[in-house]
Amino acid sequence: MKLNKNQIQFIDGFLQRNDVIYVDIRAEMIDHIATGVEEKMKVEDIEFHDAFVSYVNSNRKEIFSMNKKTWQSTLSELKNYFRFFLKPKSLFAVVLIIMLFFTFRKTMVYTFLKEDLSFYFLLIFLSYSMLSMIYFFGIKKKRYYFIERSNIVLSILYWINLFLFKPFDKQEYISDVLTIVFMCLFVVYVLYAINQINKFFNSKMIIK
Amino acid sequence: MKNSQLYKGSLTTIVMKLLEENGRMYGYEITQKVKEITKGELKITEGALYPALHKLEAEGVLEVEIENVDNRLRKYYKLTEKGTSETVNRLAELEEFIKNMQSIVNPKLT
Repeated sequence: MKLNKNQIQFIDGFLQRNDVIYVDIRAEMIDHIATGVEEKMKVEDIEFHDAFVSYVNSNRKEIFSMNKKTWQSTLSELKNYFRFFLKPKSLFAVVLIIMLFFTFRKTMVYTFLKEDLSFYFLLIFLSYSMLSMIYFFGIKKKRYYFIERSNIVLSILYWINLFLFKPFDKQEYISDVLTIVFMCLFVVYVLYAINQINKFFNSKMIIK
Repeated sequence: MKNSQLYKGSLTTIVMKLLEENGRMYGYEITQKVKEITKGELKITEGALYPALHKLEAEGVLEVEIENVDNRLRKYYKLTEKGTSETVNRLAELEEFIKNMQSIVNPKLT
């Protein structure tokens, strides 16, 4: 016996009330619970409500462990980002940045860029966060873990950049190396974020 | 899972082997298939399975197809090209491991 729309919404509501805030995580949990409940209804010949209560009571711990976000998910996102460096477009961007550095390093353009690098990080971080918030919170009124977790990478890069630049401000060679490294990290992040957003919109995870 | 520690390192290989045999599968289906094959001896928990699937997906070993099935979204996992060749390697490693364990635990059989 298959669950109807109201019964699926009931499971969705139950998960929302139990702090499963991300739609993409919830969708996978709903399917998992619904399939388990359907099987219980069939095997034990019971009604939806009884099957649901019995299923949740005997699997509560395991069900909610699907919603647990550990440092490993952050680490896996970071690994994913660094793996993105091996893509041809990222390698091309890195080569281009190095070439531009050697072309413009004695000019004012480079001086301005170097001085304001942290500001560009902050600018892209805020724009990305604001746009995500406006679109997903304001328009869609839903939160997606897939989107929010890629923000973590940018905030980590931003803080490392702030932390490293100050001590080496006056040492030209080190600050030049840091500028190239962070420019590469920054530009590849933008490419990575675009790729992730594309992937997200091409999947059918957006729920209307 | 009777002694989960013994199976822990092999979880991703088990999942990849199942996907190699069945094409594409969704989370619940994987847990039930393992239970069925091992006659209930091995129970993969949701808390272990889904993070493993998401990790394999992020590594490009698995890809995802999302479909609307019975009034809800269902996420199917299947091996990518990279995943298919990776499965062969991991299975070879697992077989080697089993062989080594066999020669330690029961040398008469080897």
